[in-house]
Amino acid sequence: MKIATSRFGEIEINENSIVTMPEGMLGFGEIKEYVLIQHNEGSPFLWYQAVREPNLAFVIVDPFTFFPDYEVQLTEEDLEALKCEKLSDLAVFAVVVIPENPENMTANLRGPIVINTENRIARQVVLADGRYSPNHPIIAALKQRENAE
Amino acid sequence: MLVLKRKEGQAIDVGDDIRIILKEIKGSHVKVVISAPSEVRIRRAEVERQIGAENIRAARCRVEDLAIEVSVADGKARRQDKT
Repeated sequence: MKIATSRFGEIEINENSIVTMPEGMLGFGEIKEYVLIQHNEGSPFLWYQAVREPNLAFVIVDPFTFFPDYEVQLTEEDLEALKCEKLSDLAVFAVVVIPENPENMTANLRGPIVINTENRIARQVVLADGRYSPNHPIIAALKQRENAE
Repeated sequence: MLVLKRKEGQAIDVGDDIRIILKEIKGSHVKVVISAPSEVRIRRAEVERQIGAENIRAARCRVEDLAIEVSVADGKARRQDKT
């Protein structure tokens, strides 16, 4: 099917790739269907584009590529909401905010998007773990890791 | 809305299966114990608000804002050489 987007124009998506968020994203509860669009080949970034809302898209990233020690602890209730049978079916993404200077971009490690790749149900979970903030600088983390290597 | 006065150690029952115990009160901090069925979602309201606010900021990103050279190899993100 074709969908309209403000950033990428009209794009063709596979209906079977639509991710459904029964509760939506926090602050965007009414918008429940999204698709993942790869930013550029080899880039860690993806776009989480709303299917029926051309203007709405988030930059997301696989948080483990920046924070190898990142841990996501889901509650029983999260797993039920995701109708999760196997933990290995779950994929985790962090929402990215890009300020004027992209070097200062941050990832939301406190509220990751968890997608059950088996049934494509997703939820933005709120982690109880106070080590993680909603705006974790990611380029600084990358530099730190590169320096350590 | 209901406003209740409770002392340390006292509890509040909500419906038949939710109990909230005010376990400890120290200065401006309250330790609360909540027993509820696993399907009841319990959240820290201010963290959720903060995440909602970050989402609103995130939704403003345009494609050209992502002008940063980072690639992934072997599951690790790296900045690309600027040579």
